[in-house]
Amino acid sequence: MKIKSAQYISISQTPFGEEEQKVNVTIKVIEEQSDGQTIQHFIPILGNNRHYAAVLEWAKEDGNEIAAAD
Amino acid sequence: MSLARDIADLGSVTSRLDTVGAGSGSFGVGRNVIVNSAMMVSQRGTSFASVGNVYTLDRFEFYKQNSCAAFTITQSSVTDLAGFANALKVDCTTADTSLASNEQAYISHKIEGQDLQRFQKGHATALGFTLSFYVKTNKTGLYTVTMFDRDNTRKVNGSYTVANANWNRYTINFPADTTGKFNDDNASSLEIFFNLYAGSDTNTGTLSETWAASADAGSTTGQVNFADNTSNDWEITGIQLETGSGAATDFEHRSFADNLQACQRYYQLVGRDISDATPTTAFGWGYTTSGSAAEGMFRFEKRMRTAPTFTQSTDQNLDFQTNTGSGAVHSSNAFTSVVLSEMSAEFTQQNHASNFGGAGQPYFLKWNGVQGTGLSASIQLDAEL
Repeated sequence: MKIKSAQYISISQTPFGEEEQKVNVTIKVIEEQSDGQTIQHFIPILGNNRHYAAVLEWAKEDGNEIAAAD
Repeated sequence: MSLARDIADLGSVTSRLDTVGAGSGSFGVGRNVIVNSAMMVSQRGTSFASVGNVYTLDRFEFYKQNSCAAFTITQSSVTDLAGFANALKVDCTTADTSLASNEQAYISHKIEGQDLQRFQKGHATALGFTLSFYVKTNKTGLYTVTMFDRDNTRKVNGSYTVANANWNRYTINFPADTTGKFNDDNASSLEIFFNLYAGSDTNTGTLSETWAASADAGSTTGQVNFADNTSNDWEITGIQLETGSGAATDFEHRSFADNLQACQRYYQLVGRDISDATPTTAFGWGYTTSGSAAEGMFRFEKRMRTAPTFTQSTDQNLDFQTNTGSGAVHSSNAFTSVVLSEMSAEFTQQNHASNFGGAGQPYFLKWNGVQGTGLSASIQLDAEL
């Protein structure tokens, strides 16, 4: 997976008795394909999703960062 | 005789059969732990050119490392092997006659640990692994197969020798392993590699045919170089992995419906079939939040192994059917956010090109009958291992 960019997607949750909070649940990834076209993935933040593991590896490289949610 | 008596007798017989099955190896329906073993299902397409490290036919991944050789993989039609209609075919399209030490390629199949407990690996009563399969290739010689225990980083290897270019059934008996239990979970525990070629990093020494800590040397010893000529083809089907240490049992055939459902635990093409040239299936619904934005959801056709990766193609052909009419989306950003579970996807859509008719409108999603090439009009859900 040749990743061009990655950004967290968050949802609002209000646990019982607590304030509303934003929780990251998905990463939106733009992948560049071999023909130069891009394709969009939504990847759940779960350790047993192989694409999530690939995004974490990508983020370890210098200059790569998963952008904060809007 | 009473119904209660009949049920009691049936229970007794079932108990005895279970005992026979557990003690002596493979037995009964469901003995094969390979999914899509007859290569019937190929949701992603039927031809994959210049592949490398991607899933091809369902549940089968092509892995290539440090190699300039190229291959096309197809779901081939089989007419000369009674009982089978499909195979996974590897066609060498760019040759590599001089392998570097770290080159390697294989077809892999990965199995969840919770489906492998029957092998009793890591216990004193551990059972052997009997792997059988049909291969047809014009590249004769010795081929190797590796079984990798990812939970315990252990490995065992075996081989088969192709003497002619016909379909032949091969059986490899991998020994039992009393060291290292498979985890009882939904992650990859056992990975089978059907090797096609390998450089001297692994193709050296003596083939290691007993379970041991994973090591490169000795894992593909004697393997032919399938990539040495563009005329080389290799086909495989009827793969069966069962408990036991003797002869393989007859191949366990399953219906297409059973195979498809088993594959959909790992991959789903939403609301359509790859061969459907004019998909019109409706699959999701929701409500508009403005004249150009909406929220919605759809449930998956089958519960998946884990929350999948959601991929939308670059030229969506979706119709939003509202009570004010339909509005097609032809944008790569039809979905702006998606939240996923093993069962469903919730999504939002913004900046819609057409007018939803204001907020609060119910709608449903359907394919608009226009298909691009291959997967270009699709939503793909991927929970592969």
